Amino acid sequence: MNPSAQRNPSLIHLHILLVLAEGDRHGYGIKQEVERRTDGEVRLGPGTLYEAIQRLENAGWIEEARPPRGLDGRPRRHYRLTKQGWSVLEGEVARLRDLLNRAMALPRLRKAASA
Amino acid sequence: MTTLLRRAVLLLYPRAFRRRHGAEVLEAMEEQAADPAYAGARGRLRYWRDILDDAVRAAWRLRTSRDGSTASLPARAANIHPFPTSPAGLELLMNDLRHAVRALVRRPGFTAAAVLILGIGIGGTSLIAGLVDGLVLRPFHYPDPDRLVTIGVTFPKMNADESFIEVLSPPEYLDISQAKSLEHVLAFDLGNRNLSGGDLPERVFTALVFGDPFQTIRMRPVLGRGFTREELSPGGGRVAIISYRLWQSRFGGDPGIVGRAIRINGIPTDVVGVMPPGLLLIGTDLWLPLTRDPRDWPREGRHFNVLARLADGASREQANAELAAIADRIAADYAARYPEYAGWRLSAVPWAEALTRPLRPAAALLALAVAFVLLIVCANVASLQIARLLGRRRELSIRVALGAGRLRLARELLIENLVLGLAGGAFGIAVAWAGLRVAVTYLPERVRMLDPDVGFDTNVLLMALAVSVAAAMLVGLIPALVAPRLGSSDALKAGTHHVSPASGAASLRQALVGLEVALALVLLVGAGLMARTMWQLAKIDPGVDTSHVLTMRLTLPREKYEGAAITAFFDRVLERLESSPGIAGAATASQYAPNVFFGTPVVVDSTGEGSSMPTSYVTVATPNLFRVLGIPIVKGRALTPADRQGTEPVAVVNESFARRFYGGLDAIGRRVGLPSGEGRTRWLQVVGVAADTRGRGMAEAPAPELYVPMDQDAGAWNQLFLLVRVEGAPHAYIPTVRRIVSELDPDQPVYAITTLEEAFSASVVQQQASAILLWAFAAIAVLLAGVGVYTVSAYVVGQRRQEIGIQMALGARDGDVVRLVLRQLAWILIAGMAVGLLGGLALGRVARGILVRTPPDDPLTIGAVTLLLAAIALAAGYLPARRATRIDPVAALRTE
Repeated sequence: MNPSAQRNPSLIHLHILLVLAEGDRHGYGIKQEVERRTDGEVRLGPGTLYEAIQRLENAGWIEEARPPRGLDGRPRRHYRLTKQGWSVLEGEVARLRDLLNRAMALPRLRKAASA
Repeated sequence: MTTLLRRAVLLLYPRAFRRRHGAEVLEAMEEQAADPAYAGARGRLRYWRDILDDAVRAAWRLRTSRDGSTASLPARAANIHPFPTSPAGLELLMNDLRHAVRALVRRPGFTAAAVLILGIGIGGTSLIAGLVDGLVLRPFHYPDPDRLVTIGVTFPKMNADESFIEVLSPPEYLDISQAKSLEHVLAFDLGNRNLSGGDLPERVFTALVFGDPFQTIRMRPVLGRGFTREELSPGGGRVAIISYRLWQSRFGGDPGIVGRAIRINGIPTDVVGVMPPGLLLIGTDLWLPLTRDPRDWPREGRHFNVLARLADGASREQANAELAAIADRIAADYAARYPEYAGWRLSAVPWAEALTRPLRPAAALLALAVAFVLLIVCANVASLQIARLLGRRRELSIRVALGAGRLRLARELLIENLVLGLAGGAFGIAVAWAGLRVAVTYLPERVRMLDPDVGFDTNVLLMALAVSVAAAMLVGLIPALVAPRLGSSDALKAGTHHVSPASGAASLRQALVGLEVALALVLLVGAGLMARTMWQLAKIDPGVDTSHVLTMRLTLPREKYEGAAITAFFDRVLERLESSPGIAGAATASQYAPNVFFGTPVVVDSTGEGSSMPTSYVTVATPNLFRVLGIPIVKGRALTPADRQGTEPVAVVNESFARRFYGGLDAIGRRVGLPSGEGRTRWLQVVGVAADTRGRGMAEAPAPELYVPMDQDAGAWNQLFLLVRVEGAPHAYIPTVRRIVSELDPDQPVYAITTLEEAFSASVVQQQASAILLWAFAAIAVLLAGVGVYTVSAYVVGQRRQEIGIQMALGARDGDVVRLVLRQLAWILIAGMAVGLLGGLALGRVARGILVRTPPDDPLTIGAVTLLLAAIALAAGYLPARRATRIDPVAALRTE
């Protein structure tokens, strides 16, 4: 285990974890949701997307979920957050909140954030 | 194809990743293709760029950082790297790069040769790709070019193939406009207008339009606007749109040009708009609205081009179905009066495709040929690489023995070749860049007039890069596959010269040389067929004496010259020309070989053609045309000055006309009917038969043609050619002709000045260009294949040195030794040639469109080039074999 890596998921990983935190999704659904939320700023090509999924799976933060029933069309592999994934996400959010709080203490940055 | 490509992209990923997520990644690629951002041809290009970019990056990260595989999940569970590329991976790459560069620099000879050969292959491919892309695939800048269609017409009754330029009449344009799957339907006629005022009168190539062109081509004017509805309806004002080129050259880019009046054919006309850069409609510089109601034009006056946009949501199939219904309806309504309508067809074809269709056979042939050159180049460099590896076997083995992973060796080689490929690519890009600049200046006038977008642009650059990488992969993959096996430990056990003689590497190399021989033969067949075509063309009699004839065009404005005034003007010009020193004769004609294009249905009193409608080219000319062009009269008489208005209307037909429509019967004294508007027929008496000329250019067989005296058809043509037979160099007489014309009318421009010789050689420019390029390609191919055969032969000699030494010690003679070596080469040559023959036959079929009097499977040509290649290959193989005879048996045995 590499604890420092575990506490520092990349931005893309974080986006994926965040999307999955709201419910199970299939791979392409994750891509669409991430791109929609970031107004296309974060782009997930097929390779980047599944590379990230693979890594998150390897890390044990997400796992395959049973596809929801009654879905028309082909069955697709869905993913969901694991317990470990939740705790990584919580930790990361806390870390980011700390960071943000510290930044907000500086007047110049506060202005930038509110603009 | 697309699926295949996507699967190929998938191969970039590590196998374990592919197993787990391959299907999902494929699906995601598919779904991404549906994104509207990737619509259209350029969008597709972007799509593949993005997909490749994404795949290469992701695959690189997966392969270089250690947690990419799912092999042992628990152990690697949380080893996630926050950054895209792990430092270890990058470092590894830099190491490999350094290593590769060092290895290449250590062998400057090999590296220079490989870069040179690769550069020629990549440069040639990019050059041809740039030309094909710029001339044939997307020659114009219109948005959504695939949905800008023109309407082609086929008249089976007149034996007329599908054609696109000047084929429809205004009433037919109205009929076509009813199609719901088409929008912004536009008709335009091509003509010439004289622009005066300023220093020199200028003739300007003009499109006369029904409809607003900007809506159809979907571009905005740079200045001003398009035509309004009022300007396009009867009685609309005198307005014009000018090209960007004309705006710049004639009006110095004057920003206040819109609203200014310019003089067109002497009449003040307001400029309302300036077109965007590029000559957007077949090279026209001036657009004028037609205000006469299309319904008032004759139905058979088919000199209009129709353009339209496919309506939103409509497909080309829908448009064609609708056009078929419209054609049927017109045929039902009008076939009684216009018999050519029986069975006629209308079709919507993308505009760019219709314009460039004649170039397609040559484009396909050259694209194929250059791809073969590239393959030969790759095979050659790959076999050079293998030769190098064979020499490095001990080193490789030692490294393997010391623990270097075989995968690592393979990766090193691959990277080395990638560097080599990119260096070759850089050189190739320079070749293509320079080549394209030169090639553009050699484009035939007819093509340059269209102002296609040819040049070294980002597309060509991307193409060249893609080709370099592909070539490097191709070149690198083979040695990379071989290398690990070469590093096997038995290479260490034995003496250097003694390792198993024909290892996999050596036979792979022989296969590569076989491939080179095969491809060289394919290209030689193409070159041979083109040689035969050029030879046939040289043998063809053009039917006219092409030397010492200067030709040019004059368009007399209708506003100034009417009826007999036109004839009178030309008569005066001819008179003055013929009395000038050095001029042997001058004539006027509406068209001349090789650019005879105007034809019409004719009525003949005896037709051997069954139910179909006889058609013939009709040339209006002054009597001395036959003398000036040197066309012999084979029967009866030529036209004479006595054939004027008021005398019996006469005509001279050519031999093809007499043969086709009168069979064996005498043509003299027969009557021919020409349509003269409103369904009436004008009858002419045939008074002579002229020899055939190559009216449609050297590559096309003569067709029926009819010569009509200009005096009896006064004023029907205001746009005529002057043909002047001179003594000495024709170009020297241009000032004389210009002076004579401007003495008679200072506002009258003279244009399209060329010699008859130039006109004829322009008619075979496709053959000429294809021939020259194919000869060059074949020469490169034969050279590379020869080098390949030579090196393999030398390798064989080296391998069998001892055996040869023993045999010579036992009394073998030189001939026996040579035979021994050549025998081993024989199968490579035979197999290569067999494959090459098949390929050559296939290439011949592609070339068929531009071959002249040469069957695509011409046994003489194919036999000759096969023998030629066999001779060259044997000679290349013989040289090392010859040297083998000088092996000193004692020395050879001592190395044991």
